[in-house]
Amino acid sequence: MEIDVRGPRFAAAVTCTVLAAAFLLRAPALLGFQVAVFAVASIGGLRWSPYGNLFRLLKRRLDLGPPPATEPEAGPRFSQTLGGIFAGAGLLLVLAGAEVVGWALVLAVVALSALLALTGLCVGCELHALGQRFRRQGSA
Amino acid sequence: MTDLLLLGLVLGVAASAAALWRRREGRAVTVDDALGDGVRERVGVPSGKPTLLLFTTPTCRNCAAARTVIDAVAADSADVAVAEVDVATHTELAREHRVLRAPTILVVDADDGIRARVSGVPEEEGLREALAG
Repeated sequence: MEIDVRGPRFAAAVTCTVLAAAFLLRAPALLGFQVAVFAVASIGGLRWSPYGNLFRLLKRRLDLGPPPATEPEAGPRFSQTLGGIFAGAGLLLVLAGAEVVGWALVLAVVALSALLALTGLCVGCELHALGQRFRRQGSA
Repeated sequence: MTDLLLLGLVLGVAASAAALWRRREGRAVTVDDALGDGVRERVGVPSGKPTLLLFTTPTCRNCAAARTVIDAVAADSADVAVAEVDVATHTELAREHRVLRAPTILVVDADDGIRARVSGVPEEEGLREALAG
């Protein structure tokens, strides 16, 4: 499936805001919400991504026009998985009482989503491309 | 308060990384390297011609844009050859030339010397200059 390249940037901006708020408010419930969002997009695909759907709704309402470019969903979907793993591990650690390490993991996700929102640089997508190269190499 | 500072610090680091990335993205960086033996045959470009070698992946988001710029630059000169290399099928070639990202463009001269490399969508003018030497 091809997706509008603006979608992941919008989703990253929302993710960054939600996780920053969770950190400032020390709100595990909000963190849990974001982990669930990551899980849905990662397992179900970006078609089901809550923020992706919010973007599509806004796109229609605000008449943002056709996508400037499209990209395959594999890279951004992999990034959602990575985000889910980091934020999920952060949530578990926070709930287990290891607050400092837990919130540090969350801040790492905040930084990466800020980077994507600001520049369009998706570190998870780059890792996915790199992984693809090594996977082929391994099976060759 | 400490939390706000910490969050500001994290976002500041991300913004600095973003600025650095933007400065590098698409720039032709001069290198002194050479194309490996038999690479031209493997990717199907004739020898003795300046060549733009574009490394792509099947899920690459900016490769189409990079292709457009490369085609525009190559269209100016009948002498410039263009070849596209899928990293997923040419893993050894990507390894030889330490290609970690797609798109990556190698600017190769007629004598198989690699003059420059670009990560990301190339700036048209920079690519022309790299090609002219």
